[in-house]
Amino acid sequence: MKIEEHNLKNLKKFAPFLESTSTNGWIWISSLVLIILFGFYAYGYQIYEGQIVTGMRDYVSWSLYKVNFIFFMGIGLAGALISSVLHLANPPWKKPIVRISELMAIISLIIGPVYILCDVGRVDKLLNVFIHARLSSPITWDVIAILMELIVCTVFLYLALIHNFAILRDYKELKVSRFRKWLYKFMAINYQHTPEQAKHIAWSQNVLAVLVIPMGVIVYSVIAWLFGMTKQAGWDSTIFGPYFVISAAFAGSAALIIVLAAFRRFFQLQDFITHRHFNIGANLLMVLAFFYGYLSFSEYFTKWYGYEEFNTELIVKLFDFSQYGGWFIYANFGAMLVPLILLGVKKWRTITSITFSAVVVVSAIWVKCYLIIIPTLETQHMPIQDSRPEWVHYSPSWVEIALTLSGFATLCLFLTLASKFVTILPSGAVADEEISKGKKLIA
Amino acid sequence: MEDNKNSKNESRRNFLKLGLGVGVTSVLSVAGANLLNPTKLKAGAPEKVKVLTQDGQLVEVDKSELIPVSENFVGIEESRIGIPNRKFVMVVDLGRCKNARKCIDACQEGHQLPKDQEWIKVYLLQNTEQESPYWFPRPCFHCDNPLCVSVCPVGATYKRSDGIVLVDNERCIGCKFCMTGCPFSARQFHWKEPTTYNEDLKYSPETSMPGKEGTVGKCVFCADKLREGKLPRCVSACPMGVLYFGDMIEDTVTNGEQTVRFSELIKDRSGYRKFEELGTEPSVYYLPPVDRMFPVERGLEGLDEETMKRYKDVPYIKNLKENEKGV
Amino acid sequence: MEVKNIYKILILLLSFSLRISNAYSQEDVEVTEETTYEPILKFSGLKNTEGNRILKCTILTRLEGKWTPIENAELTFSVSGDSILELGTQKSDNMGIAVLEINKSINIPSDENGATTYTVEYKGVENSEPNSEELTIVDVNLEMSLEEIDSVKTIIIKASKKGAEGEIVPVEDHDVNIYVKRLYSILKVGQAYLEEGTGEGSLEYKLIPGDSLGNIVIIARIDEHEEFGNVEVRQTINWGTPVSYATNDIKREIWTNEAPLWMTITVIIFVLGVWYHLILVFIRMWKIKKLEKNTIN
Repeated sequence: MKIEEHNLKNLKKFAPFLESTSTNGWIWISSLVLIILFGFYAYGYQIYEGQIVTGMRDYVSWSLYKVNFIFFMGIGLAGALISSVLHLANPPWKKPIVRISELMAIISLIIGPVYILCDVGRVDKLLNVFIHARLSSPITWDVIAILMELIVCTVFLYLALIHNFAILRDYKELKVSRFRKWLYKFMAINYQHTPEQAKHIAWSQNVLAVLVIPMGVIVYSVIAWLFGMTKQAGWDSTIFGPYFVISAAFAGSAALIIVLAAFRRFFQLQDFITHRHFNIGANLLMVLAFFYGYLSFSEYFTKWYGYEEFNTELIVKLFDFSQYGGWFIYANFGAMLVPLILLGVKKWRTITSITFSAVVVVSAIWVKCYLIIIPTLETQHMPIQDSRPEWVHYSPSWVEIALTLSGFATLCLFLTLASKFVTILPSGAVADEEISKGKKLIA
Repeated sequence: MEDNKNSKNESRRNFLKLGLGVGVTSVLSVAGANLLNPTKLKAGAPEKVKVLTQDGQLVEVDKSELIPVSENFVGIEESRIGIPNRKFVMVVDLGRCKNARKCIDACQEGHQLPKDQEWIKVYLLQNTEQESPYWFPRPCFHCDNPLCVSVCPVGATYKRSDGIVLVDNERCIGCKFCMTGCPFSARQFHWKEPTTYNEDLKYSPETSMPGKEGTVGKCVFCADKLREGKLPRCVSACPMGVLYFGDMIEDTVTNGEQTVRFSELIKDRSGYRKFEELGTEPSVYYLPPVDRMFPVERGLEGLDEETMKRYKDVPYIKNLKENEKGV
Repeated sequence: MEVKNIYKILILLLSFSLRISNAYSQEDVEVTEETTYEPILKFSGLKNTEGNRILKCTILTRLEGKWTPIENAELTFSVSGDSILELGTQKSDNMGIAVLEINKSINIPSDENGATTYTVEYKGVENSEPNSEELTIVDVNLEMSLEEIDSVKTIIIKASKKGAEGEIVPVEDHDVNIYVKRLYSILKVGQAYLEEGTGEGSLEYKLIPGDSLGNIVIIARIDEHEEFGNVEVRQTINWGTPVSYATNDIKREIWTNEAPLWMTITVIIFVLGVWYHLILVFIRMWKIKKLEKNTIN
């Protein structure tokens, strides 16, 4: 297979990343590995001692693990949604960012369910979920939907990578180990970029892209229903499905902006990922911020207005500055107003400010997940009495914090490793200015 | 430390064997597993019972060691089938409860629970500031529309034909969904490996013994006792006769002394169910706290410090304390 | 079965050997020898529906201000009169209760009033005082017949005792309690008054749920009478209203093992739909691999 000229150019640019790792790179990778190893230690400790080492107790029986689960699943599903929408809409500027968003999606989707392993009391009995599956349980829906989504997303990503593997296979100057070369060859499944092969790939990608969108909505709604199907004051809400989907899209787009900014900086992709991409990201953030704010408002407004006993109790906790008030403001108003104000004024809209608001949004949504789970469980229908006083309020233990950090470290590590295995820009990605040049020529 | 542990285990085993021997010759087995349990020792002097041994000695043993050998052990599969033609129901007379906590003790002893697990709890409820507070014992409600069972992904918790909701902790994966699903906070988790159980106990969901780390436990309405035709432990332990238990099909409940028709009791004394609006249809009914036998303060007398702390956030207690300070 | 027996014997032997080696006592069981206990005996008698006489004795002692039962105490029952007739010895259970059933075929001596005096004796051990208790009971014959009189279900009671010359004398001017048997206890449904002269009484039966077949056990009982003790007769009859436990409201029953049909169908459509497309994609991928080979050849 002859490698096209623009791909060759890309390859030459990215080959050093694939071939070797800088000292700084090693430091980065090893510090991530250290955090993850510590997470493994924490997990082992928890398995050995039991969940007594977490901050969870009989009332707050779901905690940081579930928070991280819904957070990573949200980012993952949003990443998948964005890549499939981009694939279907096929705007000219999509190429440089589509690979990154696919990678982010698939990695988050892998990390998310790992938190279920942390949360479950008996990991050794986990197979019962298949052996004794009860279709009426939202967890069973979750297991089915997440597994399918994971398979579909993996195949979707792989389809996009096949051409890349073929190029890497045929690029003889690449100085990597024999095993790597064999792996590229194996993964390229004899792809030669013949028109017919390209047609098959395109067809398959289209099918899966169409599939990913409804599946993403279904999976995340089902996750929302883990909470929505109970009678807890903070969870028993009809809008939880759409609310979660919108929040996920919001956090996912923001996370993508952060990842793009990071890659742009460390891989010198300024020519490829340009202000234009960030601008589009900023627009998306603003639209989603509006939706998010709207849904948050209607969720809490109806709870607040009705004076229903348990809702009131929860609302009081969330509004009270000595309890969750500050975080509540941050998670709801911060996430909505920061992007709307900062990105709404043209003068203020820079790549830095866009990235900054993305960081605010991602952290705020994480806090939001926390606020959805913990204060709700601290507000049971039966008042919390005749139980150990120290069991009433939740605060995370070091085990939970270590495992939370490990999740984020894993996301960073896998993204780094992926960028060392495949070129981070897909085949055919060209610098932005070249697109405009091409446009001018056509004009 | 290690040596200490070993010797403890050894003597426990010896005593267990002795216990079995007695069990064969008499009705009762004296199993001594709990005697050396650190949590039991910490809890202060356990209740002693006089037992005459076969060699004519009158000795005192811890009450919790008197564990009747269950004649009809019910295994995991069998316990999914309810006792035929029964529908168990409990009625709690709130006018009589004075937080004597005997139900809790009997339950913990009978099920060999760790001290921080109470399958029946006593709440101090007050609907509004104008209404008077009352003690509110809360076992598992064994709902007819149990959300905990609905959400279980593996069918580890189930509802039987006799209305009892049980947990099979051999199947339970510990996802804790049932705990968040139960609006009555009736379910409790074994956060660590429990150490209070006899080593030779064979697991039955009806007794929920021995508990297992990482699984969920809850009140089982003493299904094992019911099979023997005996009342649940909390019911027979209550000195005030607060708890009535019986069969809805027979339309009769009893607190051990008084036997009444269930439907008449509920009708005459305006029985109600907690959180009827949640639609779970509990099997536990309450009689409103009228014609009190005790003033509510009586329930605070004689509570140890640890237990007292458990009520410190109750608005009524807070007010009491503030008033004291004010005086 | 045999294996079980061998096991029992083994355990028995083991327990004895342990007792010899004395491996347990001091550490596990606190032997309190300094105090001497003064147990009390609660003695009562019941004549059941078969005519058998059941003697029940509860042995309790005061311990830290509480009445606590004594287990495994040997209690000897006898009839005192002209000569002492020993009836038997029973051991108390963990509630301190010892029960002795005397078959009606055994002829128990009584005095000219038809009264019999029973004695229960506890011989005591090292640190426990002996005690004994007496109970005098006049033998009463209680009869119950269940009839429908003018389509009214009626419980008819008749009580009699033996007179001085062996003639039958009606028991008069006395209430007999009527119960129905329930799972854990007996439920009182009313009283029948024994009329003067006849010793007969009756009670109109009110509808009460029986078991699934409508069977019900009716009990007539003289309760804790100072002269007669407890006397009861039981009879099973199909008078109970059969009850089936079923609620009328529409149940969605999401908690049963089988999921609702629509849910199952939805999940199947979802799973099959996704896999159908995945398989299509896999076929294409396989074609890609094959296509290349064709071009090479």
